[in-house]
Amino acid sequence: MAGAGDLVIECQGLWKTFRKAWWNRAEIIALQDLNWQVYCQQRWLITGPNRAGKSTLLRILVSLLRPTRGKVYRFGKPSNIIGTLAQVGYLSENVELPAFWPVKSLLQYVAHLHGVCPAQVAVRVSQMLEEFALREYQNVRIGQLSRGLRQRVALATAFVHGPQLLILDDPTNALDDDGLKRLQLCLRRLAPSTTVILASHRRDLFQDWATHILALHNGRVTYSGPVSRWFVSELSGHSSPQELSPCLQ
Amino acid sequence: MSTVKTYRATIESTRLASSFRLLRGLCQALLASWRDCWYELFWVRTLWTVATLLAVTVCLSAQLSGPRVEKIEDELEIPESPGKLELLFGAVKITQFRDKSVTAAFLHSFLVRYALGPIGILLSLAGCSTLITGFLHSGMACLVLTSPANRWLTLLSRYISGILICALYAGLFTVATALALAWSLECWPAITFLGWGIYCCHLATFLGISILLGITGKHSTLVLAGTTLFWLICQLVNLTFWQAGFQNIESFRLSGLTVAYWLLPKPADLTMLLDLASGAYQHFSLWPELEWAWETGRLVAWASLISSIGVGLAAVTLAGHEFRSMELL
Repeated sequence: MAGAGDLVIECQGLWKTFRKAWWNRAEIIALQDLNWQVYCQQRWLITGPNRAGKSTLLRILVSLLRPTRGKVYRFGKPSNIIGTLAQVGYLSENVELPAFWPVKSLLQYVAHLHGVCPAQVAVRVSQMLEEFALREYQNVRIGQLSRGLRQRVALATAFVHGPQLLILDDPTNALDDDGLKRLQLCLRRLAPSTTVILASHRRDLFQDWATHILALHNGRVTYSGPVSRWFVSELSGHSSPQELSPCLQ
Repeated sequence: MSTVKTYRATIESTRLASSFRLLRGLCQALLASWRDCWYELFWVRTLWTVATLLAVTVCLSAQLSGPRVEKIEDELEIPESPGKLELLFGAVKITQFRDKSVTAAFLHSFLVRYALGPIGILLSLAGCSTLITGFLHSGMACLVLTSPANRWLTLLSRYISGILICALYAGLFTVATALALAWSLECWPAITFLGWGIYCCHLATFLGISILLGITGKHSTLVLAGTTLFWLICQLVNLTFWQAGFQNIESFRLSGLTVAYWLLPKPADLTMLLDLASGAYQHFSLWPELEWAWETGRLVAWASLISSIGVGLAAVTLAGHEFRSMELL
């Protein structure tokens, strides 16, 4: 288990490019030379406009995408070692869950996939059903749920195995006020050792909760550092990240 | 000496432990993916259920009236007068010279020949075309690929689950139709499960190709069209090979066709083996080229089976390699 001060995520010279089409050699640059370090117990908020590269970065962190150049380390190990994913909870931007599965069975399956011991699975699943107010839908198939409820189920799948690192991509998507409150409550209730990386357009909802901010624009880092310094930079109107962010050096 | 022995014993135990871990991992992956595959193959299950119900109805409605068969020396049967076989409660009437036991065997082999033969295989493959693409697009892939689950085992377990589900339904079809015939004609058609085994091998071969296409193409239509086209090409090569051999043995020995025959799966051989295994050859005519190949000993059953399944397994291995480095956009 990672302790305070331990490196949880490290990106070194990270680049990601996509081909426009398989017959077209022209490339879209999603991330450019990203250097970033996340330490244990930090709570990062990743912000930026559309096409800034937020989701691409998060997908690389959970090995759904491979970097074009550069290296990514999870818990000190290269990201291609998938064993470290046992400690990671991930919520995708466009939540698509298997429609045929009942809620409870899916949560049990995800807990099993992440290596939760069988004795603990029932306890963890029950806890998640309670925390995300899904108890009455536990035997309902996911395809029959509304979009907001599906988002809650997806959040529960990210939390169910008690991960050390939570990576949430736009978790507020489709959530109503009650869902938002529950999410915020869940984030605050997390074990202190949990590291969280959260990408959202809704900065207002999370800037009090976050300890650090990573701002992206067109795949480049425009700010990376503590929230307090971010406010200073915003107030003073600095646009150059190098002046404020030691992480970029 | 004792150090070497201890060293060897340690290596052996390590190998054993790693094999055991792999087996346990596969069993766990199989259990985990079984449920998802069960849901994913809804159309295959529906298709098989409908086919089984229809076939059972046909069998239950079978009525045989009167062919008088004279037995000579306990073996030779000479039909004296024709009887009438009525199916689907009299909707279909067939003049029949066979007695009850032979009629039961004939009906059963007829049903098995079509359900477990090329038609059944192509329909099963069509139903299984969503086995991988459905997984990739349903969100399940995102859950599995962001977990520490072994990707290769995940794919292999889906492949095995697909075969097991189809095999289960094909087995039920075989048994249910035999029971229905036993009930209506009061005569057990003496089934063997060899035909069912050949269906499983045939399916395993082309499901491997289907999975490879699913991983590389990620689209059900592409998988369906690609697998069907590949099956047709293999069938064509297979038949052309035996036809060439039937007509001219010299050109048959050394040619590109021989290489293609041995490198590709052999659906025509497998269909012929199904006919032999299910007893259909007693009632239906076989392809003359294949019959010649079988009778002259050129068609070797185990070689055809192993080389066909080998292609399927090679395709799954390749798909596993591709899946390990696959990006999920």
